[in-house]
Amino acid sequence: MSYSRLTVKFQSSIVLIAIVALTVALVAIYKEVSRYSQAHVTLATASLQHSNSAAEQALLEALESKARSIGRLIADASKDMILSYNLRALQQFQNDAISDRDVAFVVFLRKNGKPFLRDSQKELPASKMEVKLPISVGVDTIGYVLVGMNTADLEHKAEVNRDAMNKLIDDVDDVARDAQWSIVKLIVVVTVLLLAATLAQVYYFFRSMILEPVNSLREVAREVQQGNFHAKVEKCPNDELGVLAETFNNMIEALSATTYSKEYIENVLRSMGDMLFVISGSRQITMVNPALLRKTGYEEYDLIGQEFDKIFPDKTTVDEIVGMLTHNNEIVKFDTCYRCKSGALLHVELSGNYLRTSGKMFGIVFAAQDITDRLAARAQLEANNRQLENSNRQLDQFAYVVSHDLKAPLRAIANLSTWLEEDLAQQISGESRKQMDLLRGRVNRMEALINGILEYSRAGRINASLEKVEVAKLLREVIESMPVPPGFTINIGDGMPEFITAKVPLSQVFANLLSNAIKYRASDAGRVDITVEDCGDHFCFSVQDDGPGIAPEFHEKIFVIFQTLAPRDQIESTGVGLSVVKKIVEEQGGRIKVISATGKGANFVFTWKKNLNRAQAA
Amino acid sequence: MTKENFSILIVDDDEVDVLNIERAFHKVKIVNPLFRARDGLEALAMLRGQNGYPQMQPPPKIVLLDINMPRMNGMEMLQELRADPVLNSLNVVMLTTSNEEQDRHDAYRLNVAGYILKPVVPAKFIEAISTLNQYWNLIELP
Repeated sequence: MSYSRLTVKFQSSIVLIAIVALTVALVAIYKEVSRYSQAHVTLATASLQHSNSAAEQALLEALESKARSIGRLIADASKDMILSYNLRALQQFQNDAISDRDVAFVVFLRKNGKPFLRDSQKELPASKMEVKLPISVGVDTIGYVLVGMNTADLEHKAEVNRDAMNKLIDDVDDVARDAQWSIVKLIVVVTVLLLAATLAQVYYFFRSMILEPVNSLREVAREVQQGNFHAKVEKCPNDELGVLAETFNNMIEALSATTYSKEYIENVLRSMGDMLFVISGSRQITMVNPALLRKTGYEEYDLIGQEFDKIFPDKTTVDEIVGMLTHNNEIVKFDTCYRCKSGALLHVELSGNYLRTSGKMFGIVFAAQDITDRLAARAQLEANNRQLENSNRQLDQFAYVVSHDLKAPLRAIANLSTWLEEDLAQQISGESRKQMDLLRGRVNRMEALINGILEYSRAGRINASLEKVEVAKLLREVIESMPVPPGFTINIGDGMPEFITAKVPLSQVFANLLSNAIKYRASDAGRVDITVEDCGDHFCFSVQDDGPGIAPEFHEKIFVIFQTLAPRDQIESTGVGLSVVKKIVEEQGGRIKVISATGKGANFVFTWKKNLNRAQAA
Repeated sequence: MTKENFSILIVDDDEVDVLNIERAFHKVKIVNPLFRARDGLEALAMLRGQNGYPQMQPPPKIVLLDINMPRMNGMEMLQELRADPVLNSLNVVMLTTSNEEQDRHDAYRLNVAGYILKPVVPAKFIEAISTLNQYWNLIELP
């Protein structure tokens, strides 16, 4: 349901028309009522008149009846007088008869109609009612008696009645007129009230539909002017003003968004650490942010309006940048330089993008980061890497030196002690000979330790070329190269895989684990079970022995280099083997753990990746 | 070696190692004249008769060469020998403590006749020298 301004006007017109119509109707009603009351008055008058004449008629009839009675009496009584022709008596009788108030005259007529008495012919009063009755003897009519009745009273009565009736009619007429007047007053009052109501309504409509929204709009407009973008035109009737209000609100919103986003962008640009500038389509700098000015030392007026070439060190760079924008439509993290105001070069990582509005290019924005620190860090990293490589080389060198230079004196000691023993064979006692043996034993241990260090340092650098490995075959080869005591069983489980991996490291892991199992066997009748389980992207190998086992508190320690659990005099061990195993397994991307308890044998479980990528293998 | 009394040049800086070789030779009854240089430069000087050294004449048929030596190591000396038009055909046997894959590879690339690791225990060395002696007796040297 939509009210429009037009609707209001239309409504007002309708109300006016209604008022006019109502007035017309009321006037019509008034007319009808007037007519009706008039008719009523007429009717009442007629009715009254009618009843009046009826009464008159009744009186006349009664008078006539009286006249007839009197006539008959007179006729009867007068028969003899007439027969006797006693005119005197007749005269007397005639005079007596008119003594009645109602009787105006009595006249005796002959058969021919002539009066018996002369005088009676002359002075007959006028009468409105006359009765002529025959005077009969037998069948013969001897004359007539004419009785005239006095009707003056009757006429007087009728007069009085007419007066009363007229008064009544006048009264009715008055009442009708009063009623008409009242209706007129009513009409006037109703009309005035209706008019007032209509005016009030029109005012209300005008006020609520036009004045208030317009005022509200004006208020809001003033607030917006003062910068309050939260202002909103509250009442939104669904008509032209409502549409206007909504448009106004939308405008405020858009204005606020524009203003906010402008401020927002300006704040962001001002606070961002990245250097930023915008060029127009004609390559002139149109905007720079403070970070750019701060880093390059330029003032805003040095750059605004200038060709953007100014900020780059040379034409080659500019050409390169333009080329990138032309071919790739953007510049992504391009390492280049800015020329500072001082002429110094600033290393930056530059990104550039076209600015478009509705698909139309209007500029290019360049954002750059100062990468001086990053370059320094990179240089530092490279230096560190070089140092690390150097360190590794030195470590290699160290291992080499250890292997040669430390071993040489050891060998000399061993040799010299042997020669001494040989040359002095006759002189030295059994005790000295035993000491010589101990001396050479320690030399051997020292050599083993040195070899252990070499082995450990080499463990990560052994030739790890990938090849197809048949694990069962590899295990058989490893076992063959070991001094397995008679009666000792090494069982290779079913399902040993065949896969491409680094053969030498895997072989070395098995060799070390198996040699440990043999070395620390509980008896020569020991047994080792090698099993495998497919664990998705890797294999889980297990080397389970039935040896003395390892107490849980040492499970970590056994994998640390030079850690042994038994005195070296009892079991000659360098404590390198398991540390080498751990190092190899981990470098190949796997893990190793031992499941064991004292007296329960030891189960070394390690994982080995199925698909070793070359980077890890290298 | 006994069938031909050619000379043998030992290039090693370690006195005991040289003694060891001499003792081993003595044990397996190798009597060929032994010459000794303490590093590559001295060995080259002896072979070429430079720096006041008399030139070995005739040149040794076998050079026992250590790797790890001061001034010029065995590998550098081997390169010099192979680049020398007169000395390039010398029989060189590496006798070293280095078990480095790289060293072995480099040595054989420079055409050595053998690569022997110096064992720590003397008995094993004598065994090795004895085997070497048999080998040399077996083959014909130029």
